[in-house]
Amino acid sequence: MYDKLDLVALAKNRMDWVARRQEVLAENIANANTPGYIPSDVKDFKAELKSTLLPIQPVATNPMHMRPEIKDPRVVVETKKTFESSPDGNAVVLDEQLAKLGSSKTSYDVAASLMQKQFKMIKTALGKGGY
Amino acid sequence: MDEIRKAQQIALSGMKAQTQRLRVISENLANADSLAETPDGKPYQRKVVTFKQELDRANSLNRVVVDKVRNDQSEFQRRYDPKHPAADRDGYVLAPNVNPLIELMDMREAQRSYEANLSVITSSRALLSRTVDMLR
Repeated sequence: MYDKLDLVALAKNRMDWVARRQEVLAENIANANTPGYIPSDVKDFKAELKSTLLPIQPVATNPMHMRPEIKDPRVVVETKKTFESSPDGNAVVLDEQLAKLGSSKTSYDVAASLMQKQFKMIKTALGKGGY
Repeated sequence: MDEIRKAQQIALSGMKAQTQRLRVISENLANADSLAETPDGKPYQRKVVTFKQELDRANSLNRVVVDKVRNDQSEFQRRYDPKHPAADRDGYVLAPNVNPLIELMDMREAQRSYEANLSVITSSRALLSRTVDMLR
């Protein structure tokens, strides 16, 4: 629907990306005390823009089929570099994760505002007022 | 929007796990003076909580759950109290291997983790309400 509206599509992609990141960060924070847990993060948005191919998902043609959860390979990346890890092998740094959470909220707001603004501009172009 | 709701669910499971941890810590602290009852008896043994990840297939997300509550295998403390009914020949009573300082630190850590999970929920809710605001 938004194919012709580049900016809206871009903003939508960005918001989707932030939403996915939110889930990954929530997992990291929830596992702040799980032994041996290494935090992960989504690939940055630039990589997301470049790759447009989605992984092929199996189709269930029979209710008996099991549906494996295939994670989007470009989404989750295991981070190798962390500041520290505790003796039990957990490498989650809460401050780092919370900072990421804050910054992704900001980018979500920006994308949402951009989208709204674009719609308002269309409204203006349609001549129905709205500013 | 599904991801944001999942994020909230995951944070919720983290909060639940930390609450259970807090419960065990309070048990340890409350029993810090539960000495042995007989000379051969054992006093209260400290309990330790470990967490693990668990795949919730219905919602396809990784929850955090309490893995096991195990006993701390470290040695018991000995207190000199010859008048105690459970004292051995030398006058020592076995006391729990609970160190209140360690328990308090654990409690703080549980509290911090809980707060971090809470802020995930708050920020997820902010994202959701920002999205709803776009309808206006």
